[in-house]
Amino acid sequence: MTDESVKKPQSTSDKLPGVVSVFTLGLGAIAVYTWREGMRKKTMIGFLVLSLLVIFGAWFLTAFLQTGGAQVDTELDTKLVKDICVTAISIFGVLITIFISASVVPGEVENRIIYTVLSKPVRRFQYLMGKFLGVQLIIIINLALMGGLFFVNLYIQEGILPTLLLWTIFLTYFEFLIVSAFTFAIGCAASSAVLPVIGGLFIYITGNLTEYLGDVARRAGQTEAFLDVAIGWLATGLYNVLPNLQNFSLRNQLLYLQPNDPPADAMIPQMVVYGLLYAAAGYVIGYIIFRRKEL
Amino acid sequence: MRQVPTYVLLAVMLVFLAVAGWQGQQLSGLREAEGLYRWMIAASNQVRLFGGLEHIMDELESGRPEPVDDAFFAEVAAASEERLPDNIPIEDEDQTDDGETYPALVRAVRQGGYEQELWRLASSPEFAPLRRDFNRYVNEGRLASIGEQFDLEEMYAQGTLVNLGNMFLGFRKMMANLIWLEVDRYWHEGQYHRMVPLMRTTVALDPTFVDAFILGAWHLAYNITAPMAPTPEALKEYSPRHDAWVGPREVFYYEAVEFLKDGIRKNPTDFRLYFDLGFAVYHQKLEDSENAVRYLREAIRYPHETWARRTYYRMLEENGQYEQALEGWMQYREEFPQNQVAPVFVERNRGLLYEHRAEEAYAEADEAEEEGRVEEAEELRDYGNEQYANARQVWQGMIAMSGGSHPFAETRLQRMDALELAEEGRYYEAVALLEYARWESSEFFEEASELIIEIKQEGGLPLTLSEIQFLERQREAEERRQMREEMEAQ
Repeated sequence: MTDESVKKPQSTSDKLPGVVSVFTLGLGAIAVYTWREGMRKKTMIGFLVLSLLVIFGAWFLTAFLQTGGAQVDTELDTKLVKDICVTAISIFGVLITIFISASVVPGEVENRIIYTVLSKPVRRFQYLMGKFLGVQLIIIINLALMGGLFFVNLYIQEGILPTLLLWTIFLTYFEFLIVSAFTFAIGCAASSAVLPVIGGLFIYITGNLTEYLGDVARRAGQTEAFLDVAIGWLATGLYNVLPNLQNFSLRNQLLYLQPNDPPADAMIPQMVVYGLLYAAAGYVIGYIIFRRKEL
Repeated sequence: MRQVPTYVLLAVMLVFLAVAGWQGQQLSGLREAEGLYRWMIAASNQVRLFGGLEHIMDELESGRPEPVDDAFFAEVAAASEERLPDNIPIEDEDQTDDGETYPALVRAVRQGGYEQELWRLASSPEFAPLRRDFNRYVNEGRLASIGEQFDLEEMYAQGTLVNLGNMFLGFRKMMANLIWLEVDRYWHEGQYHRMVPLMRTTVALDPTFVDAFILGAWHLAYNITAPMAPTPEALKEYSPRHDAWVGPREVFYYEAVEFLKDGIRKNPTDFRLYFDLGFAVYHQKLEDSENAVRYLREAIRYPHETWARRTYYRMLEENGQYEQALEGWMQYREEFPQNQVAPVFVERNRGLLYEHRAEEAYAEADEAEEEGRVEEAEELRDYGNEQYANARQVWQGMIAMSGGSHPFAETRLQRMDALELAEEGRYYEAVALLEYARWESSEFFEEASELIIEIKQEGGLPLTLSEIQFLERQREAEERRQMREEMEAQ
């Protein structure tokens, strides 16, 4: 990180008193710098380009399937486009989220930039928050790009503005936010990006399998053996504490809105709060690790 | 600035996790409510349309635990009765064939507009025990009415605990699409036996894949059965699963019916499923106009394309419900004045209604005459003549309207002429007229052929070989039907 990027907000915040300056000092500059740096990463650009190609190609893929013998009608075409795009956004979006969240802190430790930044009057909390916000900026911009192309694709396909898609994208972000926060926390403990990337993938997979813990909890205790009962307790505990990414399946439901769907307005605010709470927990874990890190 | 102690941060983190966990439980509660809400809608429709919830148990499901659908639905309906608004009207369709009124829940779902109330009910604290029971029954596989499910325990090892929903990390729809493309490939390769399990897998992975239900039923009822000959009555066997007498070909028709009903259980408000069940399978394949009318009437209750309504009116006509068909077509003509088909069908149903009334009156007159009520018979005959004259007027009007040629109207007139000739004892002329007429309009062929046989029998004229075969088949079918009735009575 160059000195300039830190100096600028430092001079502005000099005028801000006490607590306010603590939370604003350098945050914006670090976040914007993280975003700029992240957007230049080849891995991320690769994923982004691939995802855009898949979303754009979904339209052509269905055309190809028709001539290739599958007698799919227009509705089936639209369904295929929706499914391909949702899958592409989920897969590439989560990969971008994991790679970016995993690499921002370890990357700076590896390049030794972090030493320069922390030698300035920047607190670790502010540095970490700036980094976290920068990561979120990258995720949001990528999601907006992918969602935008999906929006156009669907508009061409259906001929009407797919406004429900905006809710789908909105909820997808909160799913990514949870994955991002916990990957970021692992990143704070690691000195290279490899471990956090593996950890992030693990979080995403297990987050989608949390329901499985619910099944285990429900079925445990049938034999009344101690181990069986103990597994039941453990599964119940984990089921109640770990984030359940299947809760975000509402995003698909919104996209395919069926007339018998329950009113979604009851669920969306709850999911937003759910995402924010887990993200806060993830960030605090990251901070606890990072503040004690020897640098 | 002093650093916040680590234990405070740990406490903050634990608080966040605890609140998030609590929030997760709220969400789980909402998702449970969502499951119950969907089931309440689907089950209410099934009670009204299929006459119950537990009739789909088959050989494959014989090892399953006892279903609790009917008892659980009764419990939910009773709980809803107290909490739904009192002013849900009771219309004709809200009564069973025995005249009993459906519960408020079924009425609310049929009439529509109560979605908010139903959701509030399903997610209310009072319904918490019912939600718990619902989840328990679903997990134990004791609710047949949620639709046929992918049986993982059969597919993998016994005791596998994996929930299908989580197998593909949220990409189930994509997997369903890929499997569906395999179904399509097998169809083109003629490997029908491989299609059926894959079709079931597709819809188990993505129960909202309505096109898969529709195309799957089409494969079952049309493509797979295309090379098969109809089964002679004597070779049909009773199938408890379908509650019908079937041969190898008919089994596929009923499988298509079950497949579409499964789709309806999972997507109870998609008109296409009702339409295909009523028209493509019940009408076209099983020649069951009554059920065709029942499901098409249901189809047009939901947002639908205009052709669904037109088909419904056609089915009403096929089922002999001319008055309702006429009413429907008149309403349609009013709503779509630019439509060129509606006025033709209005006239057509008017003509058919007059004919029907006339024939009913003649039949009643014959009965009255036999019983010695001569005056009444005379009156009925006059009324019949009047209705016939009206019908003639309608058919002639249609011919004039279409510039002197209208095959359907012309054949109706010829039919009436033939019946009059037969009445006068001029059987040869009547038969000759019908022989000519039946080739003029494809819609009239079957009716005319049967009428020819009737007139020939009445006049003692010799029957052709194909007519004798037709009567033999009818006699055999009647014998079988009586045998079945006797067996069922035992």
